[in-house]
Amino acid sequence: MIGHYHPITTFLRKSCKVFQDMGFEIVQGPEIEEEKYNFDLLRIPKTHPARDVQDTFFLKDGRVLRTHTSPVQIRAMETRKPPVRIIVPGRCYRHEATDATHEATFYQLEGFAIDKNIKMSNLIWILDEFVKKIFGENIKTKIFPAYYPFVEPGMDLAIFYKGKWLEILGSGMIHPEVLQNMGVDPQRWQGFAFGMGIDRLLMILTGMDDIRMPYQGDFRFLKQF
Amino acid sequence: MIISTNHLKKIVDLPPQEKLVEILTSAGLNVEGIKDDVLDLEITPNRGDCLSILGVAREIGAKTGQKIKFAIPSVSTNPINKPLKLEISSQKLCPSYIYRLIDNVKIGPSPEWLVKKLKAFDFRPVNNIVDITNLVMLELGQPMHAFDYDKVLGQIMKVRPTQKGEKITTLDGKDHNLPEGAIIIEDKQRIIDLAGIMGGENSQVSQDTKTIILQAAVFDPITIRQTAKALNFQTDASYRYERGVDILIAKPSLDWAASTIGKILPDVKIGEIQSIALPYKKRIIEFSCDKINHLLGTKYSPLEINKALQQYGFEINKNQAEVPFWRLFDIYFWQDLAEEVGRFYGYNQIPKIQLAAQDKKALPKDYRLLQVLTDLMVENGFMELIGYPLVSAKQVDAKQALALSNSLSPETEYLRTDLLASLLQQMSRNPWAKNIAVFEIGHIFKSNSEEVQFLAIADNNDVLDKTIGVIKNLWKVENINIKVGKLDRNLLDLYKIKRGNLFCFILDQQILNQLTQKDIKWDLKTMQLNPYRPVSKFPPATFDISFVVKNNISQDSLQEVIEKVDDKIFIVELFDTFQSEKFGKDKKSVAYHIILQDLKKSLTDGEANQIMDKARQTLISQFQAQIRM
Repeated sequence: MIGHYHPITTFLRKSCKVFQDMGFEIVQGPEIEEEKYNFDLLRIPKTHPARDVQDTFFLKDGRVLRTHTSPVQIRAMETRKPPVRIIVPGRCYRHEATDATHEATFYQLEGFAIDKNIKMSNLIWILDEFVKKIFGENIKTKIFPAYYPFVEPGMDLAIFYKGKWLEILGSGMIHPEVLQNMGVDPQRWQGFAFGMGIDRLLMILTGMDDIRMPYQGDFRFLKQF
Repeated sequence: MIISTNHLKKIVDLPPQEKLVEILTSAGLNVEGIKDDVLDLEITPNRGDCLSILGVAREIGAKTGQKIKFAIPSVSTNPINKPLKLEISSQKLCPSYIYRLIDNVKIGPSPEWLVKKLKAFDFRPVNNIVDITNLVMLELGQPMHAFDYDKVLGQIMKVRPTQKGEKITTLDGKDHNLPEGAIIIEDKQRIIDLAGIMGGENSQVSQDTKTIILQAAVFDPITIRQTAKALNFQTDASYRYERGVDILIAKPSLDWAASTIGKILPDVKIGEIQSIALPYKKRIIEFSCDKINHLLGTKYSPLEINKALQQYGFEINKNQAEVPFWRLFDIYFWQDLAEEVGRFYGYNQIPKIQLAAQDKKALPKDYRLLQVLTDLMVENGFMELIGYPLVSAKQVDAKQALALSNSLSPETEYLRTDLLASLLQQMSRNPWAKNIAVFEIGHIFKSNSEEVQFLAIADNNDVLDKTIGVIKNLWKVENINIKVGKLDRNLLDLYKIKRGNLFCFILDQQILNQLTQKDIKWDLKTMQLNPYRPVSKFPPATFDISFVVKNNISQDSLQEVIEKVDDKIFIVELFDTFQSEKFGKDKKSVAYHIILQDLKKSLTDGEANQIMDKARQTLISQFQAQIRM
């Protein structure tokens, strides 16, 4: 019998390898998370409409299923000091009805770097490098302002793929208050952060037409990869 | 938010549509859709100031160097001899309450031009007064409300938080049991307004209204949000209040509304503006051009930086920037100013600068272990699955399971307590599969722990025994206790899995902890992903084919030829190859699993047999194969 890697595994490995080659360390975190890490320390207070964007599964004990891998930014820095370069592959959850383009569980790849001279220019460069490694050297990209409470300035990146502009990841410079929440002095250090949904990227790259397929276990799907 | 360019271009000159879309996108107002002259803009939660024609026009004006052509006509007022007392219990909840009376109104349908404007925003016309309040909100961003003066009992309006057990019927006829602390307006006897969300039925304007109280207030965004969430009741007003309505737009809004009412109903008497409002507090942010450039990675001159900020309405005084009054909900730090500079010149102008190279860091131990294990399983012929961690009550160990408090359905109410739940669920989708050798690595959740588990299932216990042998050998852990078990019939019945013999072994966190570090070499070239081919929603047919051919014929060419026999041949996978003297010298036996599917229907046995016959014939004629099966 011929074995098969799950396509999510292959995509994540490939992505991790690209960043590992640029000096990034891999860190992981729990999928059940405290609200403090998932929201509050990332400047997403209960009272802010930004919290609605990430509709959340709650456990009966008040904890949440993490809605993104960003809480690991805070967790990782509890035991580290800058300069750091870190990526975080992991599973996340959103409380939303599923259909061909929405899934209640998905994988994210988070990355961040903190140093004295890390600039938005470096962020733009590194994302460009990554996208080229995944989609090919000739891929066209564009960036534009976006809003995430934990970065400032905030930025989205889109690629031109098969005739269309597709937004594929969110990013920005880590917000000074988030740096403070990490125990990092924003007067001395600055950094970037980015996060991307692996399932959607896999959809774009392979042309699969339903984002739920990777978790449904149809062998005909899995044996293709 | 939808917005008509016809409406927009009355106050700001618009470039051609393609350029306009580019300007809006580069400003962070993403254009999600265009239909004729209507744009659908995605306004992020921080940009409440852009939830109006004026707000969007300001952004375009800043980028194109234009002043907004929006002049509010002066309104001539008259004394109206009708008393009204206003009381505000907390200026935190209501920092500004501004209103005016308008007398001699005549409620009726709106004129055609007004109806047309509202319809461009997908707003349903109601009557002339309500329509004007809606139009002003859409144009200037100030939610407004009109009360019927004669329905406000005792000529008093008290703005206060609710106590427990209070109720209101809003003007859409819905009853609400109000949460404690919601902001309401009360007259002498009754609650007449769910402030910032919707007016009360008992004070709304109607056919015989003669005098209105026109309100342009600001309410606490947090309280409005909490109330709207608690009642699950969001309106266009609450949406704007949650995101912040600037305090200085109220007076122009009242003038704009009054002058428009005066245009439609020339006999009205317009009263003076009245207000109870906290003074406006300006916000000043210190910044340095060096810091802004250092954050962005740019080399803008102080002149360029100042120009960008000024275009967005900031007042610059040396190294201090006064935030424009409509941006107070969004701009607090000098980093926010850096974003404005970046936005103004366009993010795409920021140079790409290589991140200095750094030494490669080793993969962490836990992560690497799971990667090595994954490689090992795949090399030994297993297929990796990833299932849903959310399962039903039946699928978990009830004593240890964690439940969600807001699950989407009973089928996904619990977090899996072992991987069997999700792995069997996936296997049940493939009753047609001939051989099973699958594994999953994932998190499992119990009341007192979250840990990683590894599970392998196969229909052949020798395969599992052999794999355990490989694991033990690789990590040199002969004494470790890993056992193959047979899956229980009752368990399989739960997943409607009919096949009889299924075996598994589990590596729990404790066992995984005993496996030491192994190196792993990652090669990008081996991490290719094929383009996806659609899977039919009809069940496939499967076949095995085995034959003897010359040794020098490659697997690849055999596989390719079989794949091309018919487009219903979907997957061809090698499962066995060996040489034996009985086939003769330079010969080998090869065996393939073949999966057939039709995208439009189930394949009949007859059709499937025909295709397989054709495959055999092709192998015979092209490779002189001797068919064994």
